[in-house]
Formats: sequence, structure tokens, C-alpha cells
Amino acid sequence: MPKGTRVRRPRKRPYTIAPRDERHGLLIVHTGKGKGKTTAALGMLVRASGYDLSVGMFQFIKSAETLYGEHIAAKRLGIDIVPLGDGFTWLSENIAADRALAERGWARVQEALALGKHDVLILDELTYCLTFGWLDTAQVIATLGARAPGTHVIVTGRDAPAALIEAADLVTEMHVVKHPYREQGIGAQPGIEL
Amino acid sequence: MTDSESLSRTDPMSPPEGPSPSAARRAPVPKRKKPGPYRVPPRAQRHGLLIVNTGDGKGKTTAALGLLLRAVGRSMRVGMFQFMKATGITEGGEYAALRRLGVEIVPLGAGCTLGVEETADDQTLAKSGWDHCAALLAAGEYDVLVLDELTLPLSYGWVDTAVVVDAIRARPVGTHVVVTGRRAPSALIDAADLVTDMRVIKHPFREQGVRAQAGIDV
Repeated sequence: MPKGTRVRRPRKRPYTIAPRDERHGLLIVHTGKGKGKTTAALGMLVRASGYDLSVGMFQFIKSAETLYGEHIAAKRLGIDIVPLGDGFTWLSENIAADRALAERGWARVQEALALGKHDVLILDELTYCLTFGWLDTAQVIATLGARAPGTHVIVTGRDAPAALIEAADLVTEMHVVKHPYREQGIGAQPGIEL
Repeated sequence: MTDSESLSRTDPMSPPEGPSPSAARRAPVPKRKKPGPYRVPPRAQRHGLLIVNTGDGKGKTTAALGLLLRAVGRSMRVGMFQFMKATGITEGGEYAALRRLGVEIVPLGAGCTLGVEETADDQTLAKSGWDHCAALLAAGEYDVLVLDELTLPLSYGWVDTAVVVDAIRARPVGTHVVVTGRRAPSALIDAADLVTDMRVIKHPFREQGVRAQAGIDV
């Protein structure tokens, strides 16, 4: 970086929340095998809650039995993180039951989108329901595309379908360079992975 | 259906009515052993990780924020030190939210340096910022310490990478350290336990010219 006189760019005005119709409601996808897909979505939950935006988070796949650190902390911010497992095990032997669980969860997401209450809606691990064929990707994209203007939607999970990436405004691939489980056999730890 | 159930339907975050999907199952699936409540083990039993979030894509700082949220939920002592955010400026969603959670978040830098030429000012701030963090790290003040955008002072040579790596290696047992920022030096990656490269597939600024929005980018 060359030496020289610093010209600091003055910030024009502080960041404020634009009215909904002036916002660019983004469809954000966090995919890839690396760590950071859900955590980055949680980071946006933190940011949005700092601006008193209405944030919702639905978790597909994750069991409702496990209370994650983020559930406890988000509650303190007044945000409900809803595991859609209903206390049942996803990825059971029974494909029909898994599909029913996914469809039921998606119905709740549709309901939330139709109400248009949320400024930011996080659909954690939704991609698995698409890649397993439990939900129809085209229908999901159409529903997300028809959401209320100014709503940000964040979808996380590995192997995001090409059509979803096509429809998205922001896509980050979390690429594993190193992972403590892979190289050192260190399992999930509270406060880091759960 | 009770009154509270019928009322709760205006809120999509509440459980829906109707038969549960388990009714579709022929036989009840035996429940696996219910996981016990996760407790944070004592420091000596933790694997203190050095985590590096790097790459050009969005998600480096946000993932660190998400990690803080998790750790706060586990009642761990956490702090975030931001090397490129201007000292004294505490605007942005993460400040308000982390303050509500009682998490320390401290800007240490001179402000945005994108397209701006360097002065001694930045170097001094980065150096003193690092000294501050190094002292806190060595004192074992935190269970999770986030050093946001530290890679930039490292790659500009404002702070010596070898010194930083040594200090992180010598930290108290069981401390997790998260370093974020583009162009993480290879010595830092070598020392790290977990490295994620955030790759841009699409970005609304690049493709659509959409600028940073409150609640998403700041």
C-alpha cells in the first residue's frame, strides 16, 4: 500500500432502516461444506435485531430436542428460533414421515411469508429438503419470489440447487480449508457448533 | 382447541394445529437416547480452537457474530474487537444487539480504508489495538475472543504476523479465538484449527449495484 496523505471519506449519513418499498429485499444463500452457513445467518439475525427489525428463523432438519446456544441467546433478544422437527427425528427410516415433516414445516414458512410480518426470515438447512426431493424446488423458489417487497430471506444448507442459486441475490460458498473434526477428530463443542 | 391455541394462529412462529406428522407413521419410531443438556466443559477439557474466517465473500464477520450468539447462549465470556472499525463509532446492528446481550464489542481502528491511502495513524491504532487484545488474551479474560478484520493489519504489515501467531498459540488452554478478514496470512492458516474460505458466488453489489443495507451488512 503506497504511503501518502490520507483522505478519509466522510460518511454521508448513518445507516438507517429504509421503508420496506425502498429496501432491496435480498434472497441470500449460504451453501458449501464449510462451517459458517448457519452462524453467518445468526450474525445477520444479531445485526437485524440491533435495528429492531422483525426477525424469524425456522430450522429444518435440526431436532427440536436440542437446545442450542443460539436459541437461548436469541430469546434474550426477543427472537424465536423455531425448530420444525416437532420433536421427531429427521432423517428417519421412514421417508414418507420425513417428507410430511418437511411439507408441514414449509406450510408454516408459507404462512409466515404470506403474513409479511418479518423483515428478515432465516430458513436454516432448507436446501436438504430440496435436494432430498421432499419439497419442490420450483415451487419453493416461486413462493420466495412472491414474498412481500423488502423482505430479506436467508437460506442455508449444503448443495443448494442451481435454480435456487440462479434466483438468489447473494450467494456465499463456505469452503472448508481446515476443520477440527476432519484433521484432529475434535467433535462439536458447546458455544462453537451448538 | 383451547382459546390460546386459536389465538396463537395469528403468529406463524407458534406450532400449527392439526394432526402431527407422527400420525402418518405406522409404528412409532423408538426415540433415540435424549441428548443431555449441553454444558460447557471446564477449560482444561475444551479444545480451544483458532478459527479463521477468510475469503472475499460475505459471511466472515457475520459468522463470527453468530458464533458469539451461540457462546453467549452458553453463558461463556465473549468479546469482539474490530480492527478496521473506527474507534468511538458504535453504530451498526451488531453494537446495539451485542450490548443488549451484555457482550463487549470494541472498535479499535481508524475507519474504512477502502481506496484510502495509509498513514501512520492506522498503524499506531492497529498496534495498540493488538497490544490491548494480546493482554486480554494472555490474561484468560475470555472464553471466545473475536479479532474482527485482524488479517488486514497483518497483511499490510502493521502488526507482525509471527508475534500474533505466537501470542495465540500461547493463549490459556480452552480459549477459542476467531480471526476474520480477507487474505489471511499463511502462517495464521497453518496455526489455525478451523479455516473457512468464504467464496463469492453472487453479491448484490457486484451484480446489481445494491449497497450495504442496515440489518444485513451493517
